[in-house]
Amino acid sequence: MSTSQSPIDAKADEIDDVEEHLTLRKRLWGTLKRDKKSMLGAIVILSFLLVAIFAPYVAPVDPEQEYGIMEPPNTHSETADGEAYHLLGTDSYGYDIFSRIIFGARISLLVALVTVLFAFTTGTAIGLAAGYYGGWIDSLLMRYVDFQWAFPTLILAAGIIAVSGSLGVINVIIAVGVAFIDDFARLVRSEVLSLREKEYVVAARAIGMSDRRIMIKEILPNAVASLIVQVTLMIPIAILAEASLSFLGLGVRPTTPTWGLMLNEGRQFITQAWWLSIFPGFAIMIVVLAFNAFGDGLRDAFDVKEGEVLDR
Amino acid sequence: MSDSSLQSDDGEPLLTVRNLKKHFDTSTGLTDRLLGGGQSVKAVDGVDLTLHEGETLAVVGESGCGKSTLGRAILNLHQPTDGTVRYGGEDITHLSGKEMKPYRQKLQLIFQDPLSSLNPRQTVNEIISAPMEVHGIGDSAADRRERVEELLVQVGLKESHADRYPHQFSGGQQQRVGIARALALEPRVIVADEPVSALDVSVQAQILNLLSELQSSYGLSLLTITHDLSVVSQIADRVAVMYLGEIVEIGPVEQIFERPQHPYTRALLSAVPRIDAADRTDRILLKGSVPSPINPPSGCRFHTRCPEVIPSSAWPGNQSTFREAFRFYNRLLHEELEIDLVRERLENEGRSTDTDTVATQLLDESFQMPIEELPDDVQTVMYEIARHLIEDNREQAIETAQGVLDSPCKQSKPEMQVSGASQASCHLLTAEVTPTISPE
Ligand code: SF4
Repeated sequence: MSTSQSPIDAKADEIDDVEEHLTLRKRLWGTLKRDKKSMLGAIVILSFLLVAIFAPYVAPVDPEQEYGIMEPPNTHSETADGEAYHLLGTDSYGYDIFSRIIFGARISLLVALVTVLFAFTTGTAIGLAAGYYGGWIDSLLMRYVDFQWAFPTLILAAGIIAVSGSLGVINVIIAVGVAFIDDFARLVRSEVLSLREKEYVVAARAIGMSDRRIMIKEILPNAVASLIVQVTLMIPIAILAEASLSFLGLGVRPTTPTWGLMLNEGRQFITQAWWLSIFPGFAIMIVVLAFNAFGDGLRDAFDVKEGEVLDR
Repeated sequence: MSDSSLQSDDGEPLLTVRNLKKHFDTSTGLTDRLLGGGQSVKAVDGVDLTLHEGETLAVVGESGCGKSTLGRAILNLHQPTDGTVRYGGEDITHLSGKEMKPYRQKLQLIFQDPLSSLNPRQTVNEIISAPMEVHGIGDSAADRRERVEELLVQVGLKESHADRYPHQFSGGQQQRVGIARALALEPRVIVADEPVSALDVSVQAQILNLLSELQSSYGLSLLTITHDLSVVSQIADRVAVMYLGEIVEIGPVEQIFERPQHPYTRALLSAVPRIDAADRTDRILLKGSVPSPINPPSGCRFHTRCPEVIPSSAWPGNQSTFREAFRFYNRLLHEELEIDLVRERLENEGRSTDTDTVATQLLDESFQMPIEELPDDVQTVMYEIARHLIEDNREQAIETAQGVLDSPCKQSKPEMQVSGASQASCHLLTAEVTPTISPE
C-alpha cells in the first residue's frame, strides 16, 4: 500500500504552524508571570521551604538555648561567648523566638506536607476505585467517606489522637491526614465519574488494557490539575489543623518547637508580653495566605472551576 | 430464518451475532428495583448478523436506533443482556476482561468523535504504542516507536507527528490517528462507529478511501455503523437496516438500494439525493417521532410511522385513508391528542365548545385530508371515537377504534422473509397476511 494514494488532509501540509501544546508546567509558569499575587505566594512559600530546610544555618541561635525570660524584641543577651541578639524577643522559658519560629517552620511544613500526601494517596485510591467500578464498591467506599465527612476535621483528629493515646508528630499526621481523606476521595470520584465516560477510556478498554492501567494512566493524569489545586489549598488547612491541635494541647510533645504550641504558650502572657504569641501567629498567617494565593493562581492556570475542589 | 443462504462463501463467518440483546436498566435505586418500577431501554433487541472475512457490512439507522450500542455489545464493551457473539466459532459473549484480552487484539474499534477518543494528555506515540505495550508487542519502546511511525505513514500522516498531542491535529488527521491505533494490533475485524460523521464533508471521502485501502491491504472485515446512506454506498458490500433495536432488512448493497423490500428502507432511500433524474423517487416523509425504546410498539415496530401500513380487514376504505386514521389511532393510544388545547383554541376564537364542535375541530386538526373524504361509516366511527374522548372516556374510545383500526402490522410481528440474497421483515412480504385476509 502506498501512502501517496491517501492524500494528506489539507491541514497536514501547513504542519509547521500548529498550535503549541501547553504542558501543565508551561501553563503554570504563564500564570505566575501574569498574576502577581500568585507569584508572591509562590515566592513566600519557596522562602519558607528554604528556611525550613536550612533551619540550622539560618537560625541565629540554638532554639533549645535558654536566655532571660520574656525579653522584648530587639534586645541582646550576654552569654559566655559574646552577645545574642533577639530580633523577636524570648519566650516564657527564655528561648529565642525568632530561632524557634524558624525551626517551627520545619515541623509545621513537614507535618502539613506529609499529612496532605497521606490524605492524597489514600483519598485518590478510594475515589478512583469508587468512581471507576461503581456499584457496591462505590456505595461502600462512599458510605464511609460520607460518615467521615459528617465529623468536623478537628474533632475527628482529636478523637483519633485520644484513641491512639499518645502525642507526637506521627500521630498528628495520621489524625489530620485521615480527617482529610474524604476531600480527596470525593474530588477524585467526581472527576473519574465524568472521565470514565470519555471515549478514550472506551478505547483503552477496547485494546484490552487492564483496569489498573486505565485508572492510573488514562484517567488520573486528566484529573491531575484539580488534584494539584486541591493539594495547594489543603496544605494551609493542614497547617492550621496542626496548629489548632497543638494549641489545644493535642498535638506534638510540648517541648517541640511548633507554631501552634508557641501560640498556645504565649496566650497566657498576652497582656504582659504580646510578642510571645503575635509572631508565631504572623508566621502561620503569612504561610496560609501565601498558599491560598498560589492555589488560586493554579486554579486559574489549570482552568479548574471554583467549587469543583475543596467542598469544605 | 437462517441466513446461511446469504453467506458469500462457504466458510464459517468471522463474526456471528445471534439474537443479541442489550437492555439498559433505568431504575435508579433499590426501591425501583424492589417495586419493579424501573424500566429497561431496549437499545438492541434481538439482532442477528454475520460478518465474513474481508467484507464490509454497514449497519444503518436513524440516531437512537441502537446501532452504536450494537457495535459495543458485539465487542463486549457493553455486557449483552442476551444472545451470543461468536468470533471464528468461539463464543465470546460473556468473557471476563482477562479472558477477552486475546480477542481484543482481533477486534478493534474506531470512534465517531476522533478528538474525544484520544487521550488529551498523551502524545500520538503514547496513544498508538499503548495497545502494543498492553499485548506485549515489540521488544522495547524504540521498537514500538518505529512501528508507530510506520503506522502513521500508512494512514497518511508523517513520522514526525508522533510527538504531537491530539488537539494539534485537524479532525481528519485525528481520525487517522484513531485508525492507526486500531491497526496497531493487526486486528481481523474493525467496528467503525460513525467513522466520518464528525468530519467535514471534504475529508469524509478521504477517510472512507483510507478505510477501504487498509481493508484490502490488511484483509480486514469492517463493520461500519452509520446513519448516512452515502457512506454505505461508498464502502459497504452488505447493509443491515436497523430500526428501534431490530434489523428490519439486510442484504447486498446494490440489491437493497435498487429493490428495497422494507417500507422503512424505502423511506430512508427516498431521502438520499440522486443525481440521475430518472432514479429520483418522491421523497417519503416519515411522520411522527421515533417511538421510545422503553416501550417499543407491538407487532412490527415501524407500524406507528409506516407509510405502507396494512389496513385492517374491517376497513372499508383504501390504504391512504387507513393510514390517516391509523395515525390518529396511534396518537390516541400514546395520549398525544390534546383535547384541552383544542377546546382552548375554540374558546379563544369565540366559538362554542360543545362536544360536536370540539369533535369536528379535533378531527379536522388530526387528519390531513378533509374528513368528508372518508367513507361514511368510517366518519361515523371517527366521530364516535372523538366524542368518547371528549367525554373523558378514553377506554371506550380505544375500544371503538380497535374494532376498525387494528392493523395486522400492530398485532403480530413480521418474520424475516428471504428474497434473493436479502431478507426483510414486513407483513407485506408474507402471503398469509394481506389486507383482504383477516388476521387470526
Ligand atoms: S409490517 Fe406493516 S408496518 Fe411493518 S413495515 Fe411492513 S407494512 Fe409497514
